[in-house]
Amino acid sequence: MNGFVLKRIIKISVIGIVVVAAGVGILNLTFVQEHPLVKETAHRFESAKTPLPPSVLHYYNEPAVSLENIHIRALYLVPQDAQGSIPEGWPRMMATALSKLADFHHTQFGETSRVTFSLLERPVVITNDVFNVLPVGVERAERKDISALDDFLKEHVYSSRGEYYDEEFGAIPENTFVVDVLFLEAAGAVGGDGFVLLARDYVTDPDIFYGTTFLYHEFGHALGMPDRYIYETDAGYQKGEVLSQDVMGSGRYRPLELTYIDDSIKAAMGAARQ
Amino acid sequence: MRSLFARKKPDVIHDEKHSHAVAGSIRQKFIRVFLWLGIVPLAVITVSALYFLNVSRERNIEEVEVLLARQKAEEIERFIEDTLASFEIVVPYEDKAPIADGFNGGTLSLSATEAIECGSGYNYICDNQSFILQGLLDSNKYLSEVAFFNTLSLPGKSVALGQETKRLICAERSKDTFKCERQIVPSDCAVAHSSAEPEDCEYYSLYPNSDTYEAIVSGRQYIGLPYKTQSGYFVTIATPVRNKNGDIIAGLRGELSLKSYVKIFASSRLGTTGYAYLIDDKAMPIVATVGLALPVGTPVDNEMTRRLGGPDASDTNALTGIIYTNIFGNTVVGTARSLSDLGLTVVVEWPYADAYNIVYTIVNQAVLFSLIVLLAIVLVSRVLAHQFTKPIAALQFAASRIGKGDFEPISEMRTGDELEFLAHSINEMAKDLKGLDELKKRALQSQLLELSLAKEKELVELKDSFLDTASHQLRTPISAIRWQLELLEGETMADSAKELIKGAEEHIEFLSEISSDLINAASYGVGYVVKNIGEVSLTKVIAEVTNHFSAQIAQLKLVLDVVPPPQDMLVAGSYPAIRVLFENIIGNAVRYTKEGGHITITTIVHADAIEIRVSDTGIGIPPEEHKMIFAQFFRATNAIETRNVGTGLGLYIAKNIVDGHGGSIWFTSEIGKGSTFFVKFPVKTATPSRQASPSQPA
Repeated sequence: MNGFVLKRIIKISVIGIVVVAAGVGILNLTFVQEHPLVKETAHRFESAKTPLPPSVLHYYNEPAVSLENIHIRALYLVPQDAQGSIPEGWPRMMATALSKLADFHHTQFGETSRVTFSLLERPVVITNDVFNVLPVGVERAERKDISALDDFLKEHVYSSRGEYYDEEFGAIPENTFVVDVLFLEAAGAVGGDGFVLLARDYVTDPDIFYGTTFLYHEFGHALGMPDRYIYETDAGYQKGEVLSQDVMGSGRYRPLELTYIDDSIKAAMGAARQ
Repeated sequence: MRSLFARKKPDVIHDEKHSHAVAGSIRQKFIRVFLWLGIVPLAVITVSALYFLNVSRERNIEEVEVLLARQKAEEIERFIEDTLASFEIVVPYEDKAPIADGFNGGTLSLSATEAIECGSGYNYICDNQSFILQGLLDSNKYLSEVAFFNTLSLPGKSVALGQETKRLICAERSKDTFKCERQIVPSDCAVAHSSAEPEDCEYYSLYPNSDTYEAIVSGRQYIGLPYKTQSGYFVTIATPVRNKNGDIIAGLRGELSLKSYVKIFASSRLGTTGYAYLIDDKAMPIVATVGLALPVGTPVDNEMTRRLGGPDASDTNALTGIIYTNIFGNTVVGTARSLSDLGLTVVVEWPYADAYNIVYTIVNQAVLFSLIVLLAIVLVSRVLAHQFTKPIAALQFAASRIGKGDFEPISEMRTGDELEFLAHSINEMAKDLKGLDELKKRALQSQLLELSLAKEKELVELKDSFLDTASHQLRTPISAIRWQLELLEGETMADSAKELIKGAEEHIEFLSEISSDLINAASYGVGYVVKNIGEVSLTKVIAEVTNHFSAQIAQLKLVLDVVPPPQDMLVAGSYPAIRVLFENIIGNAVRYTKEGGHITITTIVHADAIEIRVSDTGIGIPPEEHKMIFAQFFRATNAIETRNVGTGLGLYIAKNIVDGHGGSIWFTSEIGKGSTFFVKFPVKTATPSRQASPSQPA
């Protein structure tokens, strides 16, 4: 075999290997993965993007008061005379109601606000003098209206010397808006700035299908939400007229899972897009 | 590896005379032309096709998205419309009176003849409102709440305008039949309603200033904005209730779950990853294609939803072919269609990697195909170029070879075109050039031969002239010596002196012979041509010659037989030359035949020739010297031994004379036994001559 033939064989072999390798490479090669025109257009939009401000729930019409974290301190208040009416399994029922409240809140406000709660699993027996001044039977109450109760609780529940003191219950997470939910072994349903005063029946009587709805309705008041029904004869309105079908309006008479919070309220709390 | 497109170094044909540097080869040009012809159209077609494919795909994507969005929107609207259609209640009476609610109803007409006395208080038999609401709840599993509300100001009725007169909430449905199994009927309100102040019952909402009420009393249907509950999205719908005359006698409100949209959107897909979802007017997701994990409770924030709130959406209610980044970070081609009445928007998003997948696939296939075609073009162009240029290279080689003087024809080409013709022409040209070359060579050779012959002739002539002059110059003194010796013989002298004189005469005779030979050699050299042609009688010449040698024949006692021809034969030739010829041949026979030997001279007549045979019984010629016997100055070795005097020119002269007459001479000889010389002259005519040529010299 002379040198020329050998050279030729080597040359053909090299070309063959290169062609086969290139062929295999080409077959496995993806030349275009993204549409070039589309990408260019996409970049154009990218530059026009303007980020939205972070959305955090705040107190009704008071943006300074954040409701990002809400903590419920729930107590079962029993007047001295009504201690015999305490139903079996009340803590479980109250916890269930509070869980439903938290779920509903989450459904309505999503991740903008988170509700936690703690329930004192001992009924707090209140003295008649405290009980008698509670704002039950009224349509609207303010925090100062339960100052006597607040004082009582401060002394007997939240003070480390109090007979109902529970360190775990009294602990409040940081940066939290606290709502005192006070189940009362008596009639009444009223909510105001940071508190709810609700008859125990609403969360223990299965016949009251709107019980937890009422709980949230009053809880809404605790967050500053107004009533969406007319309870006094105002100009242009009739008594009992509703302004919405939501939980603050006529929707308070629906099961909680079928009611909602009106957009105008959400807007006033910074929860919805303006 | 050298680039396929790189120009080769200029090809040079390495021949000093024919070398010529060129810029490139036809093969390279062929390859370039093939490549251009192959690549340019391929590239143009591929790029154009891909461009149009892209444009077409872009439109196609938009069309498909619009179609899907429109389809979903229509399904949503149809669902609402169907529900509203079931709400269209027309009572079968003409009175402008509310539907019986079971309270203080008086008499309820069942037909033209039958009537029921409802009496005072509540009678469920007369509660038509409940029946209707019950029917609606049972017939539509997506209704969670239905209610009638008052639109009539009637005397004696304390129900306010916009006041609900009956409300049913479905708390639980059968999982099989979807019928409402547990209804919430506020029983305490029933009691309240029977009293003088039914508005005290808070269950029954009062909304005279609401959009719902205003729409109904205006005779319009009402569709509210969707709201979100823990049971999903709901929308409030309402329709007027009319009597037989078309008068509005009440309003019917319902809370309709949008869960049915789950089914509508579940299987909404485009390609592999395209999807659709429904958002409310705050961009909160309601339903989406199955598997799409839209965040819960968070509005969908992307270019599309931002635009929906902007001026673009208000004009068209549809945004098409928008490209943006979806909430998962993928670039998508999106289309949105708003159902402004419902405050809902259908958004269709198709990740463009998937939407344009077919384009990418085709682009990749096209590129792959193009590369394969390109490779094929390169290989085919090389092969074809080689095929095309192979005959040209052969012709180039042939031309170069011809230029170098090699006129061998190239092998025939069978290309069936001009090249075959050209090859044939080149072969013909080579053939002609070869002929010319040979002619030229021959001409040169003949020219050289001519020059050589002229030179030789000149030399021969010079030699002959010298010999002639020298011989003639010698003759005179020889003759004088011979004559003086003959005179001296006549004188009286001693016998010894006479012997000396006799010896001197013999040597003079030898000298005379040598002189004659030299003269003859000068006259009849190589290339001798007969100048004066005449008719010569051979018989006569032979007779003269034998006569010339008669004294020596007698002295040696030789027997001479002359066998003449039947008749005298004449040959065309030179008498003196023929005489010299036979003098030499017969003289040799006499000289080299021993005493008492035999000499026979035979003349044979052939049809076209006369043959003379001179045979003797002499010493013969050694066989090894036969070849040289006619050479100049050659003498056979035994001849030299026999007779030391001789020029070696006799047979040389004889051959030249025979050749000059167009005849031939040959011999046979056997050493010690004798020789026979054959002389043959051509005869043109056998006509005998009556007399010899008169002009024969002595």
